[in-house]
Amino acid sequence: MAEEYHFNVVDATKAFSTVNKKLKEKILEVLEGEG
Amino acid sequence: MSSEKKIFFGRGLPYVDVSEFKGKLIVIEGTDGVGRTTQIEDLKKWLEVKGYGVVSTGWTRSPLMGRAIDVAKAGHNLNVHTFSLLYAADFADRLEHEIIPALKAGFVVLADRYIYTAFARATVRGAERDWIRSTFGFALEPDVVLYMKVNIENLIPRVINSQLFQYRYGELGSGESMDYWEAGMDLRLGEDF
Repeated sequence: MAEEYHFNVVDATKAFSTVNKKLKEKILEVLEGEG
Repeated sequence: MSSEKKIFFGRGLPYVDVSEFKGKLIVIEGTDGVGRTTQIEDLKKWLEVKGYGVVSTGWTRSPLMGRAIDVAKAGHNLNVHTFSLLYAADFADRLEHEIIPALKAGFVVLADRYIYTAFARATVRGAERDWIRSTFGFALEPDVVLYMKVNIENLIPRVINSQLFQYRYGELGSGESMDYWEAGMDLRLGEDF
């Protein structure tokens, strides 16, 4: 079963940068094997 | 890049050796209007700057089936099984010609939607859970699934203000509406049906 993470897009004006940062953190963990 | 052995979701593809795969499969899921495509465009550029080879792939975007799905959806006469099988054909084409070659070559694959979209759309329309999961049993398990969530109060303005909506209502004024299927209109849940 693949690992699954949820990110809340709450405020439309702030959503992109906030979610983007969290997505990047998680992707780096996966790519570098730190997760 | 770390290496963990890929596995198939179900029975898989017997002619594919997953031990050859060096890349990573990253799935971004979430409802229409949540910002998946914009995020993927940014993530692709960001990863490329960091030195990764990146391929992005999107739901119903296969050269083989993309057009056929558009035509079929325009007819409004699909049932849950034909709908799901069209999705499966689209996914199979992209898996074989985009995703697997990219993973073999060590690329990061960013998938805009994945089999979980098909599961949700089929299940809510009454398909048997085992049937839809078996239908997509040839899919690879992703390395990670990133699900973007939004509540209904924030989602509605995002969909209404989307470029697609502006295009359809603001410029064309053709009376077209939101996507019949993705809006779930075939489910006849509204009080005006």
